Amino acid sequence: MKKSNLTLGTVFLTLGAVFCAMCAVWPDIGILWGFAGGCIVPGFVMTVGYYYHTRPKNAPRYAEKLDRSDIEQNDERRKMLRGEAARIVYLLNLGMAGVVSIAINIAGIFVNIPYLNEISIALGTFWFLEIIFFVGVLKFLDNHA
Amino acid sequence: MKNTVERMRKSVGMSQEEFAKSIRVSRQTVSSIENGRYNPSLELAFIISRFFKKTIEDIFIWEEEEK
Repeated sequence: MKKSNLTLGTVFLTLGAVFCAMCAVWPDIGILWGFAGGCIVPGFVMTVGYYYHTRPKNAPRYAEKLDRSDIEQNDERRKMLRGEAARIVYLLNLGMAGVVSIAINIAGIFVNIPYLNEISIALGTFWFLEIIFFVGVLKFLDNHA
Repeated sequence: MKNTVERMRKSVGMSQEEFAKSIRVSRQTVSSIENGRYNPSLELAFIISRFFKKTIEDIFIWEEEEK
């Protein structure tokens, strides 16, 4: 395992310790507890993971795991399937946003839905942006791939 | 497109797993190629044919579909 994992783990643990100290001073600020946990847990996992995977008896198994993962990542059929999955998810997202938008607007006729206009605008913006991003990314890939 | 990958692989006594590792693809990809569910890229087709020391035409047989 790369030494950078240990460095990053140590940075996370240090940040976690700083946030813990801040929590001791301002115990009522919930977000500090969140940051503390969010730094300590991955920092601990990275540091312990580094020492575990660099032990002589675990190193070959880790190298094998990395090799397998590299094959899986670069497998051409998997890449094609990921692209196809992304296309299907994109269509599902568009469909769901459209259906939800129509459904809440129809429901809004019969019952009072708070912030109905804002929700509709947000869904419409999501719908619009998703198409724009899709076309943008597709054009970029078309020109560069 | 038909292919002789399975026959060639068995002739050299390799499992799908071993063959997949040798050509650096997943076992599922080898299985899909052998079953004709997936046609490999030109690059992978070359890698496979070189692995068996054959030409692409020896391994992959293209049959024009009747339209």
